[in-house]
Amino acid sequence: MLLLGLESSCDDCSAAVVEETPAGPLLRSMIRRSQDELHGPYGGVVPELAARDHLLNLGGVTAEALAQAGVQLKDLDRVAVTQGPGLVGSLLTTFSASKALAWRAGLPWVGVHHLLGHLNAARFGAPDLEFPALVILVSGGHTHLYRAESWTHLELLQKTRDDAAGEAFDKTARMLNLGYPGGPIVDRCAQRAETAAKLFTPPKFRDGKPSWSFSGLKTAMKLRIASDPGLDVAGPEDPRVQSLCRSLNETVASWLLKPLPDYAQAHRARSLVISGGVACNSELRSQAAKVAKRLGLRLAIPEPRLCTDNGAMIASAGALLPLPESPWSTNADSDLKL
Amino acid sequence: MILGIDSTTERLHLALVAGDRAWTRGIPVGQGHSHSHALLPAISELMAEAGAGPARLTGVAACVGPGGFTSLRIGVATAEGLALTGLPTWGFSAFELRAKALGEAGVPGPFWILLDGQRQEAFVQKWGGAALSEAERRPMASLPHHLGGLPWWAPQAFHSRLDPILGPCPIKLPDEGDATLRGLVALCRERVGQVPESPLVPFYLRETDAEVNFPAASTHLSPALRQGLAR
Repeated sequence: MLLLGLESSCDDCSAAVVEETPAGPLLRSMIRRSQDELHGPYGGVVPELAARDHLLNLGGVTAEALAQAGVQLKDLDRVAVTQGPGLVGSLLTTFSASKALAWRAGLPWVGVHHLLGHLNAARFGAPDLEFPALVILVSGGHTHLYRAESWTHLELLQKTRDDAAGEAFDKTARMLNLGYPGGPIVDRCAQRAETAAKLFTPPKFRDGKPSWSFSGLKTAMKLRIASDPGLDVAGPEDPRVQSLCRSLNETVASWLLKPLPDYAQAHRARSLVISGGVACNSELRSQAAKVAKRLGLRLAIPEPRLCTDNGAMIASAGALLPLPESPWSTNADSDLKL
Repeated sequence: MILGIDSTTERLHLALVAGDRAWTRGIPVGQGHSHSHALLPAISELMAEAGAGPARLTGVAACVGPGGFTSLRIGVATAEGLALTGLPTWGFSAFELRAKALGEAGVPGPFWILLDGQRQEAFVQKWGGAALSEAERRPMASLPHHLGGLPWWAPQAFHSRLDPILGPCPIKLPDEGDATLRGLVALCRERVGQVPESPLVPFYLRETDAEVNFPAASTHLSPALRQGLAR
């Protein structure tokens, strides 16, 4: 089965052609147009600008993905697109275009839950993954831990109470004047540190419910930076900045992985999937490898370009989903439930 | 067979034109993204009414604004999706559509067209047989002076807010919905002979709040991302 996958739920406009084979999905082409330069000066994504830019780019991005794969519309078997959750204006651009394209070309069409997309990004490298799996989906918008029974199933175990982990990276990069987006910049800085600064203390929750919280980490980081005059403008070459970034890297990775042993035992998990933009983080990848080995879990983290939002993961998930009964009246949903 | 789409208001306007024949549909859809729910099924039904399938389409003309940001994007994105199947596309402004509707109804120019700009503002453009001024955004209170005594027309939904400032609308259209559909048909016929546009660039006539609130951080924005492409 040959699929076209489209994704524009936030600030990446991406299209990919994926071939679903008995041995798993094969990536035939992927185009991704980032809006980092557009949103950078604002320090975060501006939803209306994101939607405006997606609309101008979706035709070119899609045509380029088809051309790079050497595929014409008539060769396709299915069109898959992100239906939600996400920024509604952004979602609706590729969502509307994909429906019109599939309708005119006579192609089956399917809307995909964005988080099922992130799970299925792992299918490219580990198509034979064994379930149940623990799945951490972590980005600038999500920090969720799920139990998956299959590639099309996600059951929430715990999530952040406030900010996503990715926000801690963006905010830190902003406070240190390192640039945008923060995740890759902080990670590069951290990798050059000789040692990590003191790690941050994990939050304790009075209600005892398992969850994460990252808003306190942002505040703690702010205080730490303020306590060291000149640090905010010292720049990425400064060893103090590097060791603070490494401290953030190690803190976030250890917090994210901490609940895994208990859940792995309780759910008799066989695998661990980590996906989403923050799954590109080098410290998280290396700590996850150690934890998975210790717990006897097979680890599946997509290659970095498949961790951030992309059309390939949407096609990969779309290949496994049932087709909707009334595709053309389907609507995008900024708060789509699993 | 040319498809005409106007998703810029709370009433969706569709036309299908084949030579002398035309099929039209006006659908009240409300605000926001319910256009996404209604648009493609309505196009599909209209084609069935014309006894044709999607393969019979030969081009798409879409209204690029100004109007509701999200709703106009749904129409333009739909046209962009159809363009990917090999169809030529053309854009037209909401002013041109309304001017064409008035022309089809026999209203002689020149006249002002006033569209709801939200936030106590109106989008205005002077029309005769063609646009006679730049499209502009004007504070509602400045309209009496700006219009200079020329007749004006505004969609019915905008009348209640214009009435205290300008009095009753001097140009009457007995059936606004029907006139708009006839304008859309006329526009589709006109566009066929013209050079297609790709991609279609919206005409928002209003910048994003980010640009208003952070002008210093917005110097990198292209005109297409600011107010869109003026028509």
